[in-house]
Amino acid sequence: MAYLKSADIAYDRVYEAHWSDVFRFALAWTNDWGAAEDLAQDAFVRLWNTRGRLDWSKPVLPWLLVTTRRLATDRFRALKRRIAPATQTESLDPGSRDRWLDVSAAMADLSPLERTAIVMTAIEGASYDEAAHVLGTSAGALRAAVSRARTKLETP
Amino acid sequence: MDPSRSNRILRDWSAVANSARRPVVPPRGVVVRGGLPSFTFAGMAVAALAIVVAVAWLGTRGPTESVGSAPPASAPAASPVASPSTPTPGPTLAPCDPATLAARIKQWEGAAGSRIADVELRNAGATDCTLEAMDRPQLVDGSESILIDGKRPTSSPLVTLKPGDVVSTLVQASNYCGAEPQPPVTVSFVFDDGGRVVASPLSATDATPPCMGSGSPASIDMHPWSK
Repeated sequence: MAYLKSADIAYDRVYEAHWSDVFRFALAWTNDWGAAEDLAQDAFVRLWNTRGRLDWSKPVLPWLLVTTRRLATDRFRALKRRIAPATQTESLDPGSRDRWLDVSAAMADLSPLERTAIVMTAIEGASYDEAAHVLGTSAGALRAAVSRARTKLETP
Repeated sequence: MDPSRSNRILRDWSAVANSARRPVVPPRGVVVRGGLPSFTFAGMAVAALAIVVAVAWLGTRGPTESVGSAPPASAPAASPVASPSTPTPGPTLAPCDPATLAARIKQWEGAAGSRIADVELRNAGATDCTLEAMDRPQLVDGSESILIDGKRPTSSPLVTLKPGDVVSTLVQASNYCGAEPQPPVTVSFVFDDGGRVVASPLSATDATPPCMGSGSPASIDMHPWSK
């Protein structure tokens, strides 16, 4: 019980420290604001449910990101590519909402892997090896995905 | 091509993403929605259907029969308590992590210009997971360079693997007319999410299928994984 109590405290700290990281990762993968909020929530539910078995002395963020990717992939399969996805942006203020619609449209041509690869390496500062591990691919494939993403973004 | 365009998009993406607001209360063990997330119309439709079914179910009960702890018909749709006729689905099983899958070629067979690899794959992890029955097969050489790249399946059923479960498949490769590969030749499988498993080769001298004419393309196909 004492261990679970300390795990509860560790969980709360990780939530405060990494919710934003998980959300941005999910946003990059899905390009859908509402879906990303939902996935971040579900990833932390998984973390809560496994908190008693985790080694909290090690970094938890890679675990959270891999879990988020798997949840997103599984959900994507289950939904078989939703027709006309209706992104929910209620939690955004009007100014940010308009900006998000522009940015998400620009990112829409990229695959989930390409989008997340370029966000992780160009914005979040992850190394190719770190990003490849989280995305379940090789560093070479990740490098190629970043290159493709950059080319697509540079071509209006 | 305009390099400043990609930088501007990424800068805007970062600015907007950073404006997200973290919910104040951390989630603690709510019911996992099994595949139909709340952000879809489908999810809302399921919730609405659950209410309708629950109301109908309550309506069939006699006036003296207790409804126990069943929620009133006006209970909010977002209640985590499942209605009597919609059992709560179990947690979604995660796709297998390629790092916990061990594949090996058990045998090579030759057939009319083709080589067929008999491959088995084992869940070496400690948890149940799901595997796509059809993946994108590749013929690769000893440096993992792709010699023949298969097609990505348009859809695939999922196979559930318990720890230690073994599944098998046959991979048929034909007409390789490329450069001399670095031995040994083997096969790999690319999953829908980009993950990849490379099968251990049968021997150090495993070779490519014969070139039947550079005018026709090389091909590689797989049977579905089966137990």
